[in-house]
Amino acid sequence: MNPIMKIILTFYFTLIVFLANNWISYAILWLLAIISIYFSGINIKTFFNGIKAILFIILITVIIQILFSVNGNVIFNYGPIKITNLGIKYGIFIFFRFTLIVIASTILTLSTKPLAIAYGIEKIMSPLNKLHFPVEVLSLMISIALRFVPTLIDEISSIIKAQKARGANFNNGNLIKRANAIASIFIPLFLVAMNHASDLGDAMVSRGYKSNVKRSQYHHYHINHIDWISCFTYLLFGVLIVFIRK
Amino acid sequence: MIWKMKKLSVSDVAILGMLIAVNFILSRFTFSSKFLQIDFVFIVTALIGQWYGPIWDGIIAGLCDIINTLLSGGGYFPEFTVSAILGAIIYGYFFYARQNISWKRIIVAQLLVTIIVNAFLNTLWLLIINHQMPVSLLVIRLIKEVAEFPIQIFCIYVICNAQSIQRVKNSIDQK
Repeated sequence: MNPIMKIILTFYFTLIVFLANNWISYAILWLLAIISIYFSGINIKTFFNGIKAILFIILITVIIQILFSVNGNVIFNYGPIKITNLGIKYGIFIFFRFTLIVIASTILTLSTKPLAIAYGIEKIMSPLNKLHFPVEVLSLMISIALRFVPTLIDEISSIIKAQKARGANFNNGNLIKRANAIASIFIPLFLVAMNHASDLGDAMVSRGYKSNVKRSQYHHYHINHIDWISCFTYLLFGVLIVFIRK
Repeated sequence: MIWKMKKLSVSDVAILGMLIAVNFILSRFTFSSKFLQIDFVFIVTALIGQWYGPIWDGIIAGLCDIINTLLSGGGYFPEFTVSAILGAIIYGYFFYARQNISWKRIIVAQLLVTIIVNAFLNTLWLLIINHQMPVSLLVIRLIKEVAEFPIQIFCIYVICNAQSIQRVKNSIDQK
């Protein structure tokens, strides 16, 4: 699929998740999510590994929501803990809402390369060019950032090793000692990043780079029939949600 | 002057690209103790605010928030992008074009970010997203903000006043 369509549909899905407010509307959204996972071609094991960590955070939020909710009929009461029927219902709805949004983002992340996401964001923002918003400059910055993330991760692991060799302890000690140890990573990291920026700036100037010039792109993504079918399906489900919600 | 969008040179574009890369890395690099887990993205935001002002800082913070969420696979909530932009504008307003930033200035800026953005706006967004929120969760959020406050001030002071970083930035500007 075209990355522009994928990003737009992910945002659209997030929007319709907030419209759902009863069991049927959530069931429809789950159906759409399952269809999307199936057609994305992502391995189900890889998919659940991707959302496992976030699911844990969502579950904690839901448990707190259920245990301390005050609205509705009380089912169980022990000290400050009060479980009500509405608390359980809203807890489950919150779990559905967050999980569905995370699923949509995970489908986008696992099925799209970072540079394709950057391309999509640039194209979506391109109408802002008319308002003299520097879309192409921002797009270049994102491309530079995505290109240099692996390089800087290598650098940061070298910095951590070097600081450990000098006696820095990142895992033990009180809060201040550990904050100090972590701060010792940041200055070398920023220096390395600035040195890379300096070299890159020189390279760009020496090759005659100019901003505010129309540029061609190495990768081209076309909108095909799969994109239109997906758009239509999402739109249909969105309309269903609007009619079904209370 | 402070609300004018600074015209960027080629080197500035390279610096900002690199700082966005650091932002992506720091968003995944958390500092955790038994009771607290914080990330250090605010350092990059403070540094961009100091060098490029509130407008560029706000734009880049908003963009980073969107891309970070899309790349990490977490759920995207546009409300938090508003928080990221506002926090960056506050840093940019207080820190822009200052070689040395005083403790007082950092404390005031961080206090505003903590109260307006982290404590008020982010809690409001959570209330909107969850429809309701137990008081216990609000208390936990407030305790976290209070615990993070001194660490954030310390980190901003160290990085934004680091002579070695400022020297490299000045040498790039003079090219």
